[in-house]
Amino acid sequence: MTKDKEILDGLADAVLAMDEKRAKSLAEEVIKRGVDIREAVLEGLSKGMEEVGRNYNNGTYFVSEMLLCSDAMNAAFDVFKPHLKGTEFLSKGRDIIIGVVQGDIHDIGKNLVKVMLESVGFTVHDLGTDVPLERFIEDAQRVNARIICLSTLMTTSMCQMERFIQTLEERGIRDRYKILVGGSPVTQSFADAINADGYADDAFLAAKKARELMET
Amino acid sequence: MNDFSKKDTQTGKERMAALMEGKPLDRVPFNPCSIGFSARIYGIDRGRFYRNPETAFDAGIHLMKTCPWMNTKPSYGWADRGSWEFGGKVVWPDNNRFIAPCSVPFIKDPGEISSLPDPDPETAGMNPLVDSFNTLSRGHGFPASLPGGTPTTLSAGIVGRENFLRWLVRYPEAIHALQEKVTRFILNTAELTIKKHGGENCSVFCGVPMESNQLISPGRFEEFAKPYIKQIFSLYRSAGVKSVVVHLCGDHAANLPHWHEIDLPRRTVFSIGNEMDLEKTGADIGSSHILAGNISSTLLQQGSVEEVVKEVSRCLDAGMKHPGGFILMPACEFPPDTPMENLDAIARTLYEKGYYS
Repeated sequence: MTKDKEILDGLADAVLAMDEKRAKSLAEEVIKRGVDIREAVLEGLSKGMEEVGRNYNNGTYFVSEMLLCSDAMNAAFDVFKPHLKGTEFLSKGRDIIIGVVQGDIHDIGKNLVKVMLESVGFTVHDLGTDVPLERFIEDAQRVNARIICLSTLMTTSMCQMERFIQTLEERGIRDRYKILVGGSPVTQSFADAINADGYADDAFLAAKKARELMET
Repeated sequence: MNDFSKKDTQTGKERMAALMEGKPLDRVPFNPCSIGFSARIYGIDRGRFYRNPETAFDAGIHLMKTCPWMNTKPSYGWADRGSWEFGGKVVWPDNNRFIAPCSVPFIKDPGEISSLPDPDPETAGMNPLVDSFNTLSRGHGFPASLPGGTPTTLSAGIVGRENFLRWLVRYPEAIHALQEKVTRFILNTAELTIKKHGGENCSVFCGVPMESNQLISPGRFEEFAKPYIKQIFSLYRSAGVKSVVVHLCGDHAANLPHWHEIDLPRRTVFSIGNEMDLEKTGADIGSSHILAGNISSTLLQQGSVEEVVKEVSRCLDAGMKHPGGFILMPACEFPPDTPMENLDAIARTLYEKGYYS
């Protein structure tokens, strides 16, 4: 095994082992040795997160572990970020807006989706929780985002997703954006009913769906 | 709306009494688990509802009168507590927004937990509001409410849900210290309420959201949640509390074996979310406990009348098989924005399919 491959595997392992320190130090090693950062993200961090997803789906990992794995991934990603600016990996047109819609403050799911989107090369603009519809539109226009991700845990806030899409339609700007929705009460049939472009059941599928939407 | 009086042979009170005693019922009771919906039907926003226990009580009475076919009573409280009670802040749901009040977490470092003071149960957070509501409830012959949220829910409100979940792995001793402190507060609050109203006149609605297996493993439930829930129910049992609803919000299927080790009164109601299966849960809890659930809240709010009829039929078909008795309930709180025709669909399906003979 080459040294570079060893580092990439080490990054994946560090993410899976929730080891922030090791992930950061291996990321620094990537920079020092001039390893391709895109490869380090996709073959190291992203691979690790894929394994985390498998562990979540088979009941080995729960949200506690997923959050700590995300922290390890972010520790490495923070080292890479300054070196990724202006590269193809974070090229324009890969900006995504994400937020929890107005009326809800539950953001664990949204935060996990954000991490997964970053791990596959999107630049994610996180608007936080309880976000008014107008702010989603303003920020999407400002960063020229292609995809807007809306999240909620509460049935009481689901109507905000529908209102958001209606507002885009009324303003004649619906075609500019792909809308991805998710959250515990949200279903594929709800997404279809409100004319969303995509729905994902978990953070891993959300990243996959976002990639598909970007290609359409 | 269907005229239930043509078919009912029991009043709502008689039906619930029979259910608690394991005696035959004329039909399945429907508990809407209504808080925000009561506010909407009464024409007030939730900010006003939660700030004014008297208004909340009136809203509950109004719903009882508007929908006499339901088994409902005035209800008050919210799940996302902890911060306000321990010195932090709460966000009120003003401007006609149908969301419950939310905790603003204020502990950012596990090292801060040891310096958290023990709150005064007379004055802390929502306690004085609940106390006012309890006095009104008792004055009208309803039970007083004992603290219902689990220690885990309050702890997560203090440190934030994500920190709580991370610290379970990274700082388990700090989480135990926090859970102990919160449990002490819940016990102190409960003792005050029991002293004032008597255990036999108190009821508990124990909402259990944070312990869902979508968030934590059954192993962590066993280690970090169960010992503290046990302490609380031990007090309730010794005080003679008989009316208990355990609302398992989310998927708790893997935690169910642990609930057998908690000393709950016979005829405890297990209300479940739509992530869980009614028949399997019924088999797990056994015939000494009552099963309740689990109409999809999403469907109630967003579904068509036909979808709601199908969903309610599913619940009745599965729930009525439970030998311990069944209450038709939504999977969680009744969505305040539910269209009235979907409420009618529940009534119609219950009228057609919810009678035992």
